[in-house]
Amino acid sequence: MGVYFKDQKHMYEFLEDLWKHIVFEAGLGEKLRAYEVSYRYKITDPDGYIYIDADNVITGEEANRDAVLRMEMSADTVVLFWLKKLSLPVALATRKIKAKGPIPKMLKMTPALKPIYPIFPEFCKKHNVPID
Amino acid sequence: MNYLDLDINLNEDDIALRQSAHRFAKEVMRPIAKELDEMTPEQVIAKDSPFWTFMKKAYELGYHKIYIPDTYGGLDLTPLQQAIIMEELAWGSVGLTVGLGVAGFFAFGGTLTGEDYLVDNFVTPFCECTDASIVGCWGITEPDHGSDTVMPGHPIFSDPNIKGQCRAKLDGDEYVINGQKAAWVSMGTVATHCFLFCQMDPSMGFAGSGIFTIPLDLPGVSKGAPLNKIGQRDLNQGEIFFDNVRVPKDCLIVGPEAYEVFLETTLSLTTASMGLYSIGIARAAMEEALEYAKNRIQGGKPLIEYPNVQMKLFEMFRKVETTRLMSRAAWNYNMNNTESAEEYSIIAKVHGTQSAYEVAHEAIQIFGGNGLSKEYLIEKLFRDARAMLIEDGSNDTLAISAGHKFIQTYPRMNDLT
Ligand SMILES: Cc1cc2nc3c(=O)[nH]c(=O)nc-3n(C[C@H](O)[C@H](O)[C@H](O)COP(=O)(O)OP(=O)(O)OC[C@H]3O[C@@H](n4cnc5c(N)ncnc54)[C@H](O)[C@@H]3O)c2cc1C
Repeated sequence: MGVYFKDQKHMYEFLEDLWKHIVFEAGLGEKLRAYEVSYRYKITDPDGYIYIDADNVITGEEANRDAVLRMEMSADTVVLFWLKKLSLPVALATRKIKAKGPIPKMLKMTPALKPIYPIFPEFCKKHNVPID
Repeated sequence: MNYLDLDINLNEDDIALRQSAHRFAKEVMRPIAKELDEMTPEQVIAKDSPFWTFMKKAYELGYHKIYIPDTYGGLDLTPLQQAIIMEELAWGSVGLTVGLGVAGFFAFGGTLTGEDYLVDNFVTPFCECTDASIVGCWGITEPDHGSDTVMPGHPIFSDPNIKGQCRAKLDGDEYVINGQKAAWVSMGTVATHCFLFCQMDPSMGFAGSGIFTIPLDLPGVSKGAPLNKIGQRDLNQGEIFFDNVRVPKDCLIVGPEAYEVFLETTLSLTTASMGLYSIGIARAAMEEALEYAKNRIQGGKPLIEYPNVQMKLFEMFRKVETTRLMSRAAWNYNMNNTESAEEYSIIAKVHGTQSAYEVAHEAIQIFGGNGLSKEYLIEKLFRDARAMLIEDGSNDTLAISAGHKFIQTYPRMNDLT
């Protein structure tokens, strides 16, 4: 088990809240639709799945479905990545993050995901994710 | 010239892109490449050289940013579309295509991190550039280290006794770069920016290197004379020297902790690109031979009617088509997986460049004496294709490197489901 989430339930609550905010309130949904992108994250320690597209943010087994960009990483890597403690090229090269799907689409999405960085610590606080 | 594409999934956009790239290759690249081929290396890069006419037109059309996503100001191309454009441009001139390709490496590097510093200082200005005033190069090889630098994963690569000639050291908030890169750096003497691969921790051998995106207008940077060579004479090449050159820490993309794997990923794209360029130049040589064989009369009939000529043409055709299949597949796989399969790209490079060379060689045979004359394009294609067997890694050492990888990884699994 990693250091940031107590268990799978804790992780799912956190991720769902974060992604629902970003997709449905902060405007990422429109970009996902325009760029025809969906994500499926396979997460380890705790194990789980999250699926995101313009209309859906789904966790659990149901989220283990086909997506344009399929990512695999540990739950701690998720947190470290959004805290900017991991650089994407280094994480990819060291296999901390594995990704499948068109690299042009993955790179194209990077600017659209930027708004997540500043709000990420707030969500950590709200869900008692110990980042300090 | 149009050709049957065995990919039955090409859509209208793919075909339109192919047609426009072909038009550019035929109308702009071919005539300019021919002119440049006959010039001295100094004349090639002079201010009033047609080289700059080509560069400006290519930038106006956006061909310098085919690898960069539109959200950074690049083009919104699929891996297949990128492959199609690379083939067509290389049909026009492989030297000019390589130059245009490396011109954007440093900016592509910036998109991998998405960091504001790199995007604002390098990626955005490059994408907005339409007059070719921003040109990059890829500085990896050194005078004493060619093959040594492109063999990640091989024990040679981690040998601490092999010392690089270009090093970067951290000093406060800056890296200080000293040393030099080889005379083979494509676009080296005209570049304004460099995607620089250089040693940082010599105790790890070349594996202890890092990757920087840097401007070349800094104090301490100087350039060598443009290189004179037999093929790809339209591709500028030359040394870059660094004398206590200071660059901000933010210019570092990847350090020794991830360099070796990152280099594998880079090479899986550059070698697959060489495979894609090979299709273009091989197709050009095949088409020249086909046309010539239809028109040249010997023994009272056109050469094309002789079975030996028909067999030679079939062999050329076979090599062009298999090169396209392998190169596109390797490019597509590696543009869809962050865990690269470099050995497949090396198949594309070795098979493709060898095929292009053989096609050009056999085409000269069909041309007879005329094939050796400067009157015909085929002798230039032959010289250009010869350079490809060494370009981006000698085929000999790439085969050693890929053989090593193959033995260690076969059967390779893609465990990401
Ligand atoms: C057209 C062109 C464009 C290029 N563009 C660039 C560029 O943009 N940037 C850049 O930095 N460089 C560039 N290069 C340099 C290129 O990558 C090197 O030329 C190439 O890697 C080979 O290195 P070398 O020429 O030093 O040959 P060497 O490394 O000296 O090798 C010569 C021969 O020795 C043998 N050999 C070498 N090492 C081994 C070994 N370990 N085991 C067995 N046999 C071995 C092989 O037969 C090899 O062919 C370019 C080269 C060309 C020709």
